[in-house]
Amino acid sequence: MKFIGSKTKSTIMISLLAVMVGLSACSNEGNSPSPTINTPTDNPDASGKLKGRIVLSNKMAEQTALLEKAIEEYKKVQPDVTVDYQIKPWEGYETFLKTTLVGGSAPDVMFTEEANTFRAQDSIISLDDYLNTPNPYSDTEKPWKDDFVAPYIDMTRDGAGRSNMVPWSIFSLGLFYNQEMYEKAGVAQPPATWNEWKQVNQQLADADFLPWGLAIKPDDAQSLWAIGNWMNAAFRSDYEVLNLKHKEGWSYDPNDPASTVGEAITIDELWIGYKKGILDPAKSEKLRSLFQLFKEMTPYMNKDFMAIGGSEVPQRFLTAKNAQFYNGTWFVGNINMHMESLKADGKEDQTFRWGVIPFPKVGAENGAFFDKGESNELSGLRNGFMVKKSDDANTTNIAIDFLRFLTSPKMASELFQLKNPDSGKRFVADIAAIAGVPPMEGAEMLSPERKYADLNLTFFADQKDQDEFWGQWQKYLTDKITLDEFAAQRSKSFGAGIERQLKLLQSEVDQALIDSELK
Amino acid sequence: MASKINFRALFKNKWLYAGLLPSFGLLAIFSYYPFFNSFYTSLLDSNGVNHSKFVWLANFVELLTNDAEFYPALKVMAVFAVADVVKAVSVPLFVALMIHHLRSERAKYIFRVLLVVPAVVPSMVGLLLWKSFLSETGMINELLKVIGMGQFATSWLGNEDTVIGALIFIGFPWVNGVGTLILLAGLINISKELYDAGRVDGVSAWRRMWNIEIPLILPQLRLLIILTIIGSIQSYESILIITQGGPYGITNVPGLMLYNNAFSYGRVGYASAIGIVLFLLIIGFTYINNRYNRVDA
Repeated sequence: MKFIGSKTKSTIMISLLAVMVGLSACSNEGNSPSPTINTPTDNPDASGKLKGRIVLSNKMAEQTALLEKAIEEYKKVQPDVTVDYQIKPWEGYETFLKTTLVGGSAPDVMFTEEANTFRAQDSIISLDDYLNTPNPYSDTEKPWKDDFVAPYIDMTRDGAGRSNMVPWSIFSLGLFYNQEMYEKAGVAQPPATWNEWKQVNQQLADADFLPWGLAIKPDDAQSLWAIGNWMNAAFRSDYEVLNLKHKEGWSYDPNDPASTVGEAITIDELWIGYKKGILDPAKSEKLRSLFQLFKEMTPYMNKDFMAIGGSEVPQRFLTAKNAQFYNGTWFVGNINMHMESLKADGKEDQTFRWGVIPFPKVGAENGAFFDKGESNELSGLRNGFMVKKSDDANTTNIAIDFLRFLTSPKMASELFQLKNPDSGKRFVADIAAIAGVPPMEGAEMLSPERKYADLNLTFFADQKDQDEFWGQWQKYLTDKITLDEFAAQRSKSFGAGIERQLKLLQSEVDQALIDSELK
Repeated sequence: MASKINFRALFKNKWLYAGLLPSFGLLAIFSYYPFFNSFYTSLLDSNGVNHSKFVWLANFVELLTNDAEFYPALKVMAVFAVADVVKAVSVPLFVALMIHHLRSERAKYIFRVLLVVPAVVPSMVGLLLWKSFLSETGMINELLKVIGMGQFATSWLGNEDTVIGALIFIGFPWVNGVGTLILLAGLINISKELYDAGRVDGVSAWRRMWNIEIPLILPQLRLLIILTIIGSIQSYESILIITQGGPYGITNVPGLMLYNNAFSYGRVGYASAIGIVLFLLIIGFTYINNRYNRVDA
């Protein structure tokens, strides 16, 4: 799939426009009333029973129209419930949630990108009991969890195997490239594999283009998206040894994506895997190889990858400062909008042709341990909803009821297809985490569908481990420490992190299993 | 010597005391209670919500003997504190002296207003602007290229050799409006007779500054130094926004450790212990400053 524009010459005006586009994306303005939609009120049990008020918070402005519409529709089925909607600035949203959760004043329903960070305070509820029962607003009559795209709900599980988030949308990551730079560098075909991509990057570098714009900083997980996905693929042959607390009769079939649905690696299993050396960075040759594999690309990255903010990377792409970046489906819409606004302003000379392809895959040619198939499409859960732990059961009931209404297939289908009357484009370019919702036009290329069954192997034991990782990772990628030193530091941080989690989740840890496996 | 409470005088001024009560009541709720509560919390293994176990001084022991991050962070904090004091005293003093010696009262007023104007810009905006200036494609590097010094262009915030200096450089030329006004207030209060006497004795501007002005604004300088040190010890916002403690964790400061432990790691007790240690440092520095920067009336 290619998107056609014209050549980039000036950078300053585009930068300004990029900022304006970014700012307008963070604003509520322009979100005009959306079309009328059909409310899923077929099930009379779901209507008019609740009374009360909850607060819903969000940081993603593009979701505002959808959420406000859902609130409006929800009022029709639960007239005595008020949902107060709070849109918060993107920057500092997690801080807002962390501080208000500790202070006890957090919103009742929190729209967020990641839930397990917030488990540390033990102030959000585990949703399994709700997810295992049917959603009264859904006509599928299956447990609520089955209304979501299968593997992604398992990504919300914490070290105790609990689901902490109601999924909402999925990210599917693509490699966005500047078609004109490709042509100037003599790149005939976009790369499909990691090795092909290395070749492309060399061609771009030889033509004096900066190949890959990337941020490797604690506030941006870009470098981890790929490596985390590789890890899942590299350890497929170890899944049966790692997933000890599996369902009765479970067996792993790499070619059947459904075979890992409902399975998760819990903290005690992680500890066993670590102690056996399978997941210990200091002992695992697989992990060491993955780290090395990623490091192969550092010569092609922007030199300031340790300083640049994640949001600056696409801006540099839009101003033709780098030839490629990788990011989520949502950028299809953002880049289209940017190019169209330049054209509308008579600045066609600042536009350029661009394209997007699935992120290049790694496979057997990158390591013998990829013996159960290449890496899956690079995708994951982008966001969802957490529910605050509350002493008031009514508040929790309303929060769950609202989320069930919101994520019923019928409602979600209507909401995701809402279009901004100003641009004629969907408000949200993301792929819905609710099964059966069609993707946005132009983003079909980045499919979240998985060819192989993967378990979501956690790369970090906890937040502190993750924070420690960044310094270690930056040092390794800039040759401040060797691979051995990096692996040793990772091993120490990861082990300490698992121990902290074991302590935190003490009551849910299967100590007998640990003892029997590690005796 | 202990003095007896004069209840008659208290009653006489009852409305004054009643007027003070709301302010101090709110201070008690929002400042004093959390402050004293943090002493207690520092003795707990607590996530701040629903887990709390008394561990005596274990948090302090871990912090002071077993936390590999703490002493490097303390060292970085000390570097920033020294730089902050130099920035807070040098340029504001120079600017205050310049304004003080302007002949035109109108010009003095205009400059005083101009000093306050930057204070209305939210600090977050300033920090984000500086972050952009210091990026690889930012203004500083572009400026270096324009003046033919492109070879010095670097990733100021991503390079371990430059990041501390770059963070210190933020806010250049460091004309701290409030600090300058504090010093200016001190200068304005210097008796005109002293200046006249100096003039009669034929003192140069340099000697006038060292022998008359600086000694007489020492209380203001001392206040400025104390406030700056307290601010430096407590500060972590700029690090959080600009580097998140990186690269390699070399810009980590105890304030950021406190924040991370309290809000990311769910270790509110440990974070409180960090806070107590920082409080003791502030008390110590304040005492030293008062002790060795004494102003005799």
